[in-house]
Amino acid sequence: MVSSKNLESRTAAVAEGRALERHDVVELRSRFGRAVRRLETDALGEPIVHVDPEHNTDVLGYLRDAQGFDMLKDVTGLDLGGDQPVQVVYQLWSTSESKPLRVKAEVPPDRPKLKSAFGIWRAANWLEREVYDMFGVRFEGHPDPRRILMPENYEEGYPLRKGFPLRGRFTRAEQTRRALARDLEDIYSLAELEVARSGGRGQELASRLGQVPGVSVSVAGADVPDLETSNMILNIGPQHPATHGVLRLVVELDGETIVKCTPHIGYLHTGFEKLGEYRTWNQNIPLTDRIDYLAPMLYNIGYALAVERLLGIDITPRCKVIRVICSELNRILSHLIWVGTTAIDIGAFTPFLYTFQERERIYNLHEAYCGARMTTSVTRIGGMMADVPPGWLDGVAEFVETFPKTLAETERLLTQNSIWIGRTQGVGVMGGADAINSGLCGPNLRASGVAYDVRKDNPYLDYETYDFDVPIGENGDTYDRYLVRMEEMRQSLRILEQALDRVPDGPINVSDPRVILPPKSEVMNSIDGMIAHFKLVMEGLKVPAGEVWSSIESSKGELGIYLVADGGPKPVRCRYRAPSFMNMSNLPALIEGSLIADLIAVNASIDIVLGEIDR
Amino acid sequence: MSKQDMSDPAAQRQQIETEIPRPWVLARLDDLVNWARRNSLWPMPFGTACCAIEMMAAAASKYDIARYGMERMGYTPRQADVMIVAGRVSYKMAPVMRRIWDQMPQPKWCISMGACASTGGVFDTYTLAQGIDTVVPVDVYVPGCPPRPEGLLYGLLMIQEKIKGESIVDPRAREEAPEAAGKAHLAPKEVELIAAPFGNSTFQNRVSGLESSSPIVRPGDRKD
Repeated sequence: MVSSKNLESRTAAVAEGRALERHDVVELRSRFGRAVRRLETDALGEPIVHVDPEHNTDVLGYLRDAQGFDMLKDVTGLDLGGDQPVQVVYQLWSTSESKPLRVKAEVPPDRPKLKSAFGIWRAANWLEREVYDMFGVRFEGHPDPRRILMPENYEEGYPLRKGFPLRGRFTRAEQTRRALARDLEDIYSLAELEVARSGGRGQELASRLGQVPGVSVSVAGADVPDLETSNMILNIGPQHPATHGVLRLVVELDGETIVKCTPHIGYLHTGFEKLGEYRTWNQNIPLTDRIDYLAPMLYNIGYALAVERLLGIDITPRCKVIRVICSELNRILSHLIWVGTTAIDIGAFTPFLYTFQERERIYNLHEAYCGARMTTSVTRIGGMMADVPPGWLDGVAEFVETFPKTLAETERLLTQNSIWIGRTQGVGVMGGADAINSGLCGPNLRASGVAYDVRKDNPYLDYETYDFDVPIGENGDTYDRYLVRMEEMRQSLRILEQALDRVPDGPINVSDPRVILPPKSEVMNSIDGMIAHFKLVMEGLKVPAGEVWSSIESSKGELGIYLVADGGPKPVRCRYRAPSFMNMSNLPALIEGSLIADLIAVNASIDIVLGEIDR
Repeated sequence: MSKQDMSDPAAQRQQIETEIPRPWVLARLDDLVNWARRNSLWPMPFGTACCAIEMMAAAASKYDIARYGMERMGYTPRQADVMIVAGRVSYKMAPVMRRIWDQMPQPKWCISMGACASTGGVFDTYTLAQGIDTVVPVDVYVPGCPPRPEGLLYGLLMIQEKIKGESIVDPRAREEAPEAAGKAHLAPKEVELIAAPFGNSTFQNRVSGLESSSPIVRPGDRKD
């Protein structure tokens, strides 16, 4: 069954430029005149607006205020090599109209400079720091323009620029020597130490909280005037059991109150995005497992889907349903580890054992399907690595049937537990509008009362045909984030039940010889099959030039994958917009002003996975 | 010895003390010490990435690391014996790992869990240390990506085997030069050797004398 859409018709639709007649794009052009340099469409036919780098914040501000693009999903860079300008890509979304818009600004590669969009969306904070770290683009007016993933004294350059070699500029021995020559005491950032010394912003916040620093203390009847007080700096991590990986938090404390919290990330930076440019389209799939190892199949599926959108092929109906089953199983897998580890952080050990028992059952299903427990690499461009083995769907059905019991037991341990409630209710609160503006996503955003779920708002894999609810919270606190995740697991079970009922027969892979290897019987017996096999193995899958920003709802939030192809066998840019990265950037806003003990609860509640944050 | 003598404990003890030659005690002390050491290994879980989740699975109900006396995961290096490095270690993380290793008291052992910790794995990139053995000495490498929990348990059993053969009077077994603290474990030349493109496989060929499979040197890929 051939179900690949005709490539020519798709490009024709793009050439027609229907997307460019969208009223917002037309209006933008008429309003800003030459500040809008040119318009393009991407592989999905979505508009790309190139703006003048001098006027980027004017256009972006207008888009947010007048056209309702209230969500900044991504800011990233794109270097095409040589003397070509470095592009900075803003991916916007309007929650009211459910439509995307991509804005690009081109800056010269030797002196890249732009105005920061931090004043428009707070979500731009870490995203712009990453663009600076990886591409060297400086953002004027950014409140904290430091490197974010690489060490602050990194001297080899900007890794994602095309001129930067994959293995770095220095030899391995030199890299090791430089790494070990660093004095660990030095890596407190100077700014933080300065704040501690002067009281700085701490005093400001402390007086806002009604606590007066520099209090007069009376000792044995005599007044001691204005004792010098200073805030305490506490370092947590990067090797700490409650940071869920190799996260480092530096908090500035006034008593037990956190006045400032600075997350330091990048301790697990692996270079997935750089490596992605050196691997063929299919070779990238095993790498995606290792980004979010708590829900590996979701990343496999998100990546495969993005490439398929770029290619313009439709996968088979059976593959769609199998992918939905895999997605929802992995959502449960990830939420389970979240419940287990968060409960440990807050002081309850039993849920960890309960949830790991269930995780082992999902791991068994993984193993039965693809042979690996965790690093599944289960998708291929145009299908799956294989059809599911006989009896596998029965195994999933049994899990769906028996899992609610454990879920109910875990809930019974926690939901009404007074310690749990005391530690979580009213802790780490963020309202809906703030959450959208600052880029909170996934269950955290929904706990803040925003019913945004990619499965509903921008459906993929036919999610619109499944009957499920999007749970939302009322208060946006840690307890709501817990409730939302528990309810999401139940909704995932509902989706699984429906998916199991409708698994159609038929092939799992598209029968397109440009994409999927033909069956061995054909390769051995027909010249056509052999040629197709040879071309695919020797030359690799060719993806037509173009770009796509595709997203799925991962267990942590919206996973965006931005791919740029030049017609060759490897991506030009392979960007993963990691939901945990966006959530993590909000930790300071969630925690500043609360007590140090709440830091552990709030940090656990936003469900981070460091592999994804650092990439 | 008559039956009457056996019933007298004082006589019995005296007989043991006179009959047993002195060196016997030292040899048995090794066994005793090693038995104690290997059955209460306290791991220092240095988990960074995917392997850390399998390490957690090894500690959870199904695999139950407590069966080997190793359930006491010590998150403080000062009270730990085995550092389990589970996952990728970047150059940004390397000094932290070295610091933790230096803080652990002797005797101590190190397990490198998974492909990334052992060789850098598939990530031959600008940011990742190509094997933690360039930074700290490693006793056992557990292969896999990630290794199954059984693999980690087997690695711990291998540490136990290794301890069995150690002697407390052998000064070489656990010596550590104080000036080496905070420094790389391998000399720069050796780091280069094992961290060359396609790393350890070519390294193994080279030590076995197969010069033909020398690493591919790409012009411009590296500035020496």
